[in-house]
Amino acid sequence: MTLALCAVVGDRALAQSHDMMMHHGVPSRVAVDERVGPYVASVWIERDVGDGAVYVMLDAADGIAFTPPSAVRIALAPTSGRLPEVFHEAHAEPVRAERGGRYMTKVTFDRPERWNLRVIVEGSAGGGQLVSEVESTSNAALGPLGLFLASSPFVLVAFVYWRAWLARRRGMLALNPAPHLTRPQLD
Amino acid sequence: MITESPATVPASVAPVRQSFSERLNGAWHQRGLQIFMAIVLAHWAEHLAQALQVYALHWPTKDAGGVLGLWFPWLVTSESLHYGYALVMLVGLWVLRGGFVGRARTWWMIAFYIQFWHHIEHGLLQAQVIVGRNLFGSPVPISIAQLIIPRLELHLIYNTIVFVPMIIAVYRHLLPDDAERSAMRCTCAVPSGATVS
Repeated sequence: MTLALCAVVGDRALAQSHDMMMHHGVPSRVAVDERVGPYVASVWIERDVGDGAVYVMLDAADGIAFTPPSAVRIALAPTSGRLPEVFHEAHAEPVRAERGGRYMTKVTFDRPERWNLRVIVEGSAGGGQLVSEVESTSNAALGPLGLFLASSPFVLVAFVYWRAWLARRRGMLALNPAPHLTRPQLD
Repeated sequence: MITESPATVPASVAPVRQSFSERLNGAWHQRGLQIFMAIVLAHWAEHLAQALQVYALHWPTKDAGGVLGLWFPWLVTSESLHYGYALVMLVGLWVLRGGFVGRARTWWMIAFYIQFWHHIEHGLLQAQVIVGRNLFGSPVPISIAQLIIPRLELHLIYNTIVFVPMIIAVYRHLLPDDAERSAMRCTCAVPSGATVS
């Protein structure tokens, strides 16, 4: 019974933890405990080029009871002005053992560059906005260094075995030296 | 008068019965190390294929699943595979450590300690999922190293910093100095007269 329970919990942990494991990267912190109207907000964002999540964590400011906002919106536009500002409606996510609320939406970064980010919170308790900048990054950030890192083990193993082969060969030559030929005396 | 049963064999003459661990770090060490290196390199071959897909062929990272991922995408995206490999690495580094002596042992244990930390990071992530509360106010489970390197390349970097001391250990193990050679119980080292300085 205990074993079965461990297996279920372990399997659940492995399955659920996969998406946010280091093999996929995690969101970066953009803002921590910043005042937005009657709330304190923290913002985390997946800033790789492509589709990424934006998380807004809200808690009540000044120790008052948390009143869920009626809307949390994310506005995103490149600082270059090449694209108009796009609004994304964030939806509440269920959270365990945490105060306040968590809101999430997906945004798209089409290329690596700096973006203006606005988090707009509206509700019966009041509203406000948080303004920040975020830099989207290329998926292949390591570039040729990634290729070098991935191929280096094979080069290192080849080097070690080449040195061992060389040492073995030198040893064999030392143990079995070639016969020393001398010129015959003619007179 | 001392009587002795004819079946009794003096301890000095009786063959020494070796445990599995002693054999693995003695007569079987060379073969064991070769198998372990083959597993490590097979994992790296997958990463090399993935790196070629991302950096040379410019595939999106979510499609770049190495060679296995082309046929079994579910396998590559499974945490069990990554965690299983990390576990194999940790166990391999631990059970083969006895065969290493001197400088090789030092480097091998450095690799073990880094891998052990890597494991703690995995443990932290899974503990956050089980408890339902994340570290550092993160919306998703997060490890310590991810605060500095939040990207997927962290896995590649972790594997590299474990592999480098490991290969230095193997180098020192194959080409030991005289003192190390005399302490070795396995057959991995290049024969004595052959050692290069």
